[in-house]
Amino acid sequence: MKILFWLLLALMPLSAQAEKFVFTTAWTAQAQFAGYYVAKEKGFYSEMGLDVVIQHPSLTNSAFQRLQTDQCDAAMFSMMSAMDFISQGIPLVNIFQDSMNSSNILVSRWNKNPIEMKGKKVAVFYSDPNYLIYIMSRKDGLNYEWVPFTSNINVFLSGAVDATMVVSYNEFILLQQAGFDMPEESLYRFSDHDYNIQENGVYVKRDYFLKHRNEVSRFAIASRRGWEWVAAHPDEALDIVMKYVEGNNIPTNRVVQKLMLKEVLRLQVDRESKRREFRVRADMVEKASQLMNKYGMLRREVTYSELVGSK
Amino acid sequence: MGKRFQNIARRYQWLLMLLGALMAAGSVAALVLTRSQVQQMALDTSVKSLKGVVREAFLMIDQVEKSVEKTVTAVEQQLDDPDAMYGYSRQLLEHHPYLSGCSISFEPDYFKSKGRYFSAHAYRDGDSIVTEQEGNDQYQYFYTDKYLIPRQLDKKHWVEPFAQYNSDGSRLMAIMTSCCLPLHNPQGKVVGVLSVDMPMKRLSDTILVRHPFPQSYCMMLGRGGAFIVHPDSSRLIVKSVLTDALVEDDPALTELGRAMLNGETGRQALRFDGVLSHVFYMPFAKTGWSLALVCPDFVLMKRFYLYAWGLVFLTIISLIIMLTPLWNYLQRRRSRALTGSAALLLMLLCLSLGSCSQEKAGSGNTSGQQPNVTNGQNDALEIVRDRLALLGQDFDPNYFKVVDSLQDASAISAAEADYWRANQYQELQKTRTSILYYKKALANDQLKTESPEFYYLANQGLYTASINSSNVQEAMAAATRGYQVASEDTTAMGQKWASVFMSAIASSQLKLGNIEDAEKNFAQAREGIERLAMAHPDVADYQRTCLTIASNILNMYLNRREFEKALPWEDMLEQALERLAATDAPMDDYSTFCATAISNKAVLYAMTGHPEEAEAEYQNYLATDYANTYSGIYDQAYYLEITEQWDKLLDIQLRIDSSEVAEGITPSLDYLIESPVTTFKALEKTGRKDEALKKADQIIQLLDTVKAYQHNNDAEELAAIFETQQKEEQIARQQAELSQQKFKWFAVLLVLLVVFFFVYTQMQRRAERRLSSMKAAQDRIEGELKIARDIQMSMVPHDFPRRDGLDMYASMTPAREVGGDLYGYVLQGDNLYFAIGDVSGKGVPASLFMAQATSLFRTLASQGIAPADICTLMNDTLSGDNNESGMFVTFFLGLLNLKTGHLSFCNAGHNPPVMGGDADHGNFLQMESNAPIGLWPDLKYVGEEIENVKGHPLFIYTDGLNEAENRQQEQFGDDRLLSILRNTRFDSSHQVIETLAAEVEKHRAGAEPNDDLTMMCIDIK
Repeated sequence: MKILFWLLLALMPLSAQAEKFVFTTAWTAQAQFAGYYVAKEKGFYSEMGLDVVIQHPSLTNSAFQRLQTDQCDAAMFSMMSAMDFISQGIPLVNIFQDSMNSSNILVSRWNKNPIEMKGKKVAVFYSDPNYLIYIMSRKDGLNYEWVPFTSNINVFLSGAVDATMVVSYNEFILLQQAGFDMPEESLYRFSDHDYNIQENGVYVKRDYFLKHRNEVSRFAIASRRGWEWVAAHPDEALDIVMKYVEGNNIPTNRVVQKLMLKEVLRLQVDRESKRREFRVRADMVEKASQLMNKYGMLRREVTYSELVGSK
Repeated sequence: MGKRFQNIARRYQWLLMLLGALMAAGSVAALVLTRSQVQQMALDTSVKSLKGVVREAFLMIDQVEKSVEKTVTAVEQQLDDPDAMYGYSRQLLEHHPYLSGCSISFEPDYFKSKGRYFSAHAYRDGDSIVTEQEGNDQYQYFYTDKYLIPRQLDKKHWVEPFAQYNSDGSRLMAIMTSCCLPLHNPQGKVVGVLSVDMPMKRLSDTILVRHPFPQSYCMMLGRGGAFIVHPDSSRLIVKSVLTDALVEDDPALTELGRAMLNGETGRQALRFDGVLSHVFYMPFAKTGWSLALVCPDFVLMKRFYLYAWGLVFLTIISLIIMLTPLWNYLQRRRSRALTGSAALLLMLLCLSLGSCSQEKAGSGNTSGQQPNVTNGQNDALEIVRDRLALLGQDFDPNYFKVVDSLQDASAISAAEADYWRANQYQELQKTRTSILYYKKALANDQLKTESPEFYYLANQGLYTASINSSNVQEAMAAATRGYQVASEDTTAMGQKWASVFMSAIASSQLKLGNIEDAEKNFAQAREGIERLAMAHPDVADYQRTCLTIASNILNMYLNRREFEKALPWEDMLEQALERLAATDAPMDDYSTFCATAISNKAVLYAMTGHPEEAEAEYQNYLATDYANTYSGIYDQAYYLEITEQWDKLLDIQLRIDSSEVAEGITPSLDYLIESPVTTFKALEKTGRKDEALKKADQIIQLLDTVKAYQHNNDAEELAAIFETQQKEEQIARQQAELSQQKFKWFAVLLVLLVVFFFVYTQMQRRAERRLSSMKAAQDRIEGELKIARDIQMSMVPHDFPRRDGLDMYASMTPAREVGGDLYGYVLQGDNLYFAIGDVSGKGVPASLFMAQATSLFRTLASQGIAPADICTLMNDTLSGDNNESGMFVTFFLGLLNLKTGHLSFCNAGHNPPVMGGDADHGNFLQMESNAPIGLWPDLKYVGEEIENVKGHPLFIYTDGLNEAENRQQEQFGDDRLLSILRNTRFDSSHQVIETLAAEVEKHRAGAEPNDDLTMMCIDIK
């Protein structure tokens, strides 16, 4: 039987002393992580009895490396990367899903449809493999020449490649800021081509998950509130983001971060329910698993239950 | 001169107008021409300056490139010796002090002996140069811009400037760039890249120092539009020329940015950084960057503005010349239309100003309508209520005593106290008692009137208690009553409660099977509360109410296994949860609702064919704190039951059993149905038939226990109610006795009051009568005194003899109604008797004595007796036995022969008169002094004589003159009297009297007269 509330709330006991929880974001400080910054700054984590430390990765020490070497309790990376790691025998569990849609875009340099640029040089992120473009390239027989790069848009702007992978909340905005002309026909948005697969989420090692289910639950609930607060107060949230950005000497500006935040919030809205759900979708996991398996990117199938730790 | 000019102007007015027009046109043309000429000159200067900057910067870049190219050639000839690369990179730094680092990097595994990575890197460490191999798994240099781009382009490349920080990233060291060249093997294949690192400072200093005008400046943009050289260092690297254009529609800025980034040369006028400026730009060819010179227009046109002032002045003069004839013409015409237009214009201006000021006044009033009122008493009461709620939560044994005390002290009303009691009994699961008190709290309109919030809470409590005791009709009645009041309450609180009660009504309807109405009312409740919650997104309470309503409806549908109907309420719950997240609600609230949302999702996923997601959500739910609370465990059991996970359900049921025991749940029929029966079901489904049968036996036994417990509980509760009622009756009796006693005291007090009032009234009346008779007596006396005053005044003469050579005048002003002064005269032929006197004392006795003295004087004077004899006779009459009151009169009596001027007089103790006409223009008369008349009997008064007083005016007076006092009790004084008489020229005796009367009045300055004032002046020629 479900008990009715009737305006009476149960009081929950919280730990008297805050437990330390170290979390590494997917990238350097930026609006992409606004919800976590807000949860920290507004005291949502501490109210949930957690002393959350937010770390950012570096070129020489990625989020995955930090998680693997126990420098942090939780780290953020894309769902497909997590599935890849799991299939390689590194058991991970998603504890909070940040994105509900794919942000990947392939931008062509020559105002051409990227799908017609067979065999051309395409810049791809070195640090976070763009599984989708590998799948797409192979599926459509495009035979792109891959040019892995670290970050930014300089490789593309210099003319060293014919196309580049960008994410809609970051490099795409930087290209706009660089005045780069991007007619819609020169863009290949993966979310519009049956490749709409969720991206970043927060992961912990499975053994940590099993031992600290309550802590990760508290982290997830407070992070969720952080994001919902951001959606309701974007300007104040941006102030908090800029504090982190400036504290970490990130060469960016408020306008770019504002646009990033707007796009990140858009990507959090599930296309079906039209709401921010912060959950891994079983159908997307299944789809990703099938695609990655088919094109040899997974050593074995990774299931939804495995990914979310329910089995 | 002016007139001549006017004449000329009038004569040649149309010629003058033409001249003015020509001059104006000339001035405007000169203005336009000068502007374009000055602008062109400034533009030329700017372009020239920009070219100069580009040339100078180019030389610097060229120097670097040449040195790198030279080293590349040397390196390419020694590709078989990797260790030699360290020497080359070191050498480059040694020869070029402005370079900070050099890397000669090779393709992966190029040198088999060196492994995957080989990059000979040299850098400065203080004054020395250090070399190292910098590639490794963490730093895979071939993915960096400075390797990748020249490698891919197979040509020289300048890397986009980047920020270099110290080792811990806390301090910006420099903005850097790198010049990179690919290395080729003899077959022309790219095998590596040589790059040198150069701080931008040298280049930046060269560029920034060059600008043609004081406030102009140069800037450089990278390929991505980022500022890489700019006087404002905070923009470097972080901001692009197009950044602002991303959020603001600025076509000019966008055009400039795109032109610069496309490597074009040109100039553009636009508002740059908020200042109207000209921006001159050209590509910085070798790097792919763009250099620009920004010149604010006010700087570019500074020279023009100087000319312009002069030309504008000339133009104004020209216009005046041109318009003067027209002005004259209009002046002559005195055009009514023009005047009318001006008046209309003025009126419109006044109206607009008036409306502006009205708006201002209006806004002032609006802001003033919200005074900051604080109510300390209410605040204190709120604190008391909060404290009471906390006591209740803690089940404090003193709770009810505190409520009683608060009621006794009248801090809270009886109705509110009943509400608090009911609420606590509900907490203690004494449902019937709580219902009893809720009903008492709601028995009259007291609560509704004094505190609508408690009225709503009481109805809500009654509703819940009634539902819990399965009395749906009673519950519905409470909800309906609450709704009726809340629906007419237009406040936000009223709106909230209207929705709460509406959802409660709908819940009751659902329980009664009235499904259609229930659904309609649920929808109405949702609409109301969501409207309120969305109108006040920052009020956590409304979002919480939204969540509570959604949760309850959702749970009702889930309990009824109507999962499709539950879906919209899950949606409502999620939306409300989002809104709650954005408020300042504590995390406790948020996480509880979040957990319930997760639990609901698990159920809904399970029931809509998503078992995996259901299980994942359930696991998430289990990890929450709420899942392990008393309420949370029920949700676990519910999920396990609907997903038929019997083993886990059995486990949880056992936990529920123990939780219920821990919570002290009393065995009820509901408990029997929900808990042990579910346990039985779980045992049965898990194949534990024996245990299931045992449980069934337990249930049957429990049924008896429940019955007995229920019976006992009922009896206990009824006993408690009875006891409470008895206690209340006892209290009522005590109160009645108290009231009776109070009444008695009140009656006694009332009687005392009546007696007092009667006595007081009688005394008051008597006093009034006495006062009235006294007033009448006083009026009578005043009337009589007035008559006496009239009589007294009629006793002294007001007409004075009119004879040639005689100027006589006298006046008397009593200090009260009647006075004691007197004067008089008797004229017999050429002999004039005159007298002035001052009776001792004041008022009626003095006036009577005065009348007697006056009468005696007149009688004796008319017999031709000498003044001294008259005084002797008057003294004989007025002293001795005839004067029992011992009164007396000072008296001056004179006999003046008007012909001869001979004066004989007798002074009976009176003030000495002043006689004028001497060298000093007046002195007090020196004379013998007799005793005042009436003081002692048998006195012989002595008289004196002055041969001739013609030309010597005689001024006689009483002491009401020289002893007249002001408010400070300062006397008028003899000196002042003498001074006035001496220094004032008088035309008549009358004037002397009037002048002195005025002076006395002036001296008194509003003070009441302290004595009668009588003056007489006689002047004979």
